[in-house]
Amino acid sequence: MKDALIIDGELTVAVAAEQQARLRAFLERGTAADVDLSGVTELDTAGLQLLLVARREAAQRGITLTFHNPSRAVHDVFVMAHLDLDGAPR
Amino acid sequence: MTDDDLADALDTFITEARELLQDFEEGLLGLEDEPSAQDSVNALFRTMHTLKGSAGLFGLHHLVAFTHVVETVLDSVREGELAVSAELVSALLPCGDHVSSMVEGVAAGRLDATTSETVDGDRLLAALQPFLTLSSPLAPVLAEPEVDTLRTWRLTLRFGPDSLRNGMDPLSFLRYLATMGVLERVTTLTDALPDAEQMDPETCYLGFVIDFVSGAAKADIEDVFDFVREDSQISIVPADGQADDYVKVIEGLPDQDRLGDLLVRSGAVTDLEIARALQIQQERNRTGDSLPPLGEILIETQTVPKPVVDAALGKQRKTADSRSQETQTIRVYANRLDKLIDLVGELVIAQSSVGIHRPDEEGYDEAQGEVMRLVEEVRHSALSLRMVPIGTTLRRFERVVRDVCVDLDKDVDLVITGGEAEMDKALVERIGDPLLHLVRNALDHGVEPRADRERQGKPIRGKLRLNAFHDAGSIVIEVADDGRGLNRDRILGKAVERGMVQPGTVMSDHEVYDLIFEPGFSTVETVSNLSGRGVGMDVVRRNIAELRGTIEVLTTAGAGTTFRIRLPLTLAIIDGFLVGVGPSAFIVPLDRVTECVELPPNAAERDCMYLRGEVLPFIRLRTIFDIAGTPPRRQNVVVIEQSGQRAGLVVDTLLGQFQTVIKPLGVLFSEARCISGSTILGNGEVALILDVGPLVAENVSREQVLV
Repeated sequence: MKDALIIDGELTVAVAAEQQARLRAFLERGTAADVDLSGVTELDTAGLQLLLVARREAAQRGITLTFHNPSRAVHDVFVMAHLDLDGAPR
Repeated sequence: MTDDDLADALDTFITEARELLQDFEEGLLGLEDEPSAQDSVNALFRTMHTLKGSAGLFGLHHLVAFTHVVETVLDSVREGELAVSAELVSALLPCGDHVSSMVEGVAAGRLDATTSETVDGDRLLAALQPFLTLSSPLAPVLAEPEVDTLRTWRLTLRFGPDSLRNGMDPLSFLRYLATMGVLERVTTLTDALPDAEQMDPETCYLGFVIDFVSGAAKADIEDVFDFVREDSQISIVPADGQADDYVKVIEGLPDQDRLGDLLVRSGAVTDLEIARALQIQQERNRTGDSLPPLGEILIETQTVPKPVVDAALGKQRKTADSRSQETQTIRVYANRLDKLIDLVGELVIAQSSVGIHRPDEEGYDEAQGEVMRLVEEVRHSALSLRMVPIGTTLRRFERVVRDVCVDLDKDVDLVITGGEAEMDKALVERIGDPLLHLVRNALDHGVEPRADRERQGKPIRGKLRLNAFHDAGSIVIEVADDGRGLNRDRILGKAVERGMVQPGTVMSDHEVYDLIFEPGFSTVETVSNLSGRGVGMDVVRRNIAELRGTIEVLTTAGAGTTFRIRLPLTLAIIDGFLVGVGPSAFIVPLDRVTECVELPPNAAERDCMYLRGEVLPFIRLRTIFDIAGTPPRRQNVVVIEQSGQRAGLVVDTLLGQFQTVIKPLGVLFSEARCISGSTILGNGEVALILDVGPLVAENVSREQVLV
């Protein structure tokens, strides 16, 4: 069964170090991974780059990492930056 | 009005504005001496009022806005609400300068204020604020109509690594941009993202490339990034395919001299980007030895696409071409022009009177003589059109003296006499710099500080005299101070120290004082702000020599120094001495010729001869100019003198004195040394005018080594 990581609260520079640790620990575990973003209340550049690095890192390890249930905050950022939630940047 | 009419009218405006500003400055300085003179106050007010009015006609809003404030201040002086004070004059003088620089800007094709001008203007207006009474509020500046057209910009944003830590979230900039226009395409640059284990979660790695469609001006977009500009790389360039639009805009712009101005006005570049490019240019200039062109830097830093720069360069070149001689105007006295036309009319009549007489008839010689006389007069009269009184140039120094005195904390009165003496306009323009140097020198080194003057029982206020007068076909300008005079011993000591004079040489006072004009000579130990900056008296002398003038110094220890400049009245005609070598003819300026002798037959093999017991090195023009043919049996030597050095010119024939109308050589010959121009002889042939200075310097020094 797939691992799932639920990120909630802020995904911003203020908590970037903690969130980075969580993401990395999560990647260490599984072979396929889901990240649930429904609880993210705020996403800034620091958060965005964490997600992008995690996705790239996962791909390098042969893990499929997918972002699920983006909250409004996450959705807006991805739309504005013309990024795709499922795959590589357009 | 057609474009041409408008350009003509604008030229007139600029000429008028320059004069008004000159009046303004003179008036202000006069006001300082005599604060209660109602006439001067009125005149001052009128200059600004007229300027404002004329500027308004041409829609020069920046000029109108600025002059309006100055006018308001002067109005309250006129109404007696504000008293004239030194502070007021000091605040107003730079305002005049500022208006001048804006007017020059207009002359160069800039119809709006540049950013730096706006900043300067605001600063000056702030300085005027204390003088503005409450009853006269500032009028609102005329609103600029802003035409918004949608443009696509390619924004490349690479934020500094510390942006996040500093609380600058790149995404918030994107959000803000979205309020100004449409983010048509965004590419997130992830190439800087490190591997997961090396990633510092608080460092910013992301960049964005955005195609941004907006009606905002480039400068406004640029302003968005004000806070992060220092450590980020922000570039805003017209998107692909938009370059053509800018090229069209640039081609439609009014003529401009400066590349930067063109690009800024087209909207492709902002003032800030130009400033940055200029900075890069300066740095490279310091490190490398060549000055890279601004356009290249702009392309290299990807500020503007190449086609836009090329269009601007083309426009710049066209501007420079079109501003040739014919667009320059000169003011002449109407009565002189009338007189010239009168004379030409008379000449035509005299000419026809020659026509009706047969050569052997009585009256023919008389008619012929009349024609000759009229030709001479026409020439005289035509030359006088270029003559202007020197007073305007001299009065400009009132301001210099005032400013320098404030800097040096000295009291010096400037006395100008002989301002009505006339000289060639071209000369007047070129004598300004050397005079400026002499005036500053006199104030700095000549006139003593107050305490010294008091100790010597001199009046505390120093006196600087500028005097001009005509003397034997030349104009003499004197700069005289009543200061300490030249110190003979110190000059001689310095010259010995510098190895310019052998110790123990016996020299006349005159020779010693002349040393100050030698290159590399400066007796001042400390470099002051004003003079002593390496631009020495040697440069002054060289500049004056270029105008075919001379300078000498007269001094009395403790009583003052006088510099006397002697210049020809015009640059257009000289008295020449015509010589022939083979089929060619040359002109030697007559004032350089001291005598003519026959070449001794025994000197044929050497390049020097004895003249009254002295060795005279000579130059064979035949050799220098590579003239074919064998020299005649008897050759002549024209003895010339240049800067105390004598030399001979070996020529075939002496053809006598000749009134020489100088025709400048074309650009093709600009590299030719030893020749200063050409003239057309009576038989239609061309004669070259020898430039004696370089000719002697280049050829004789070598000979002296051999002798």
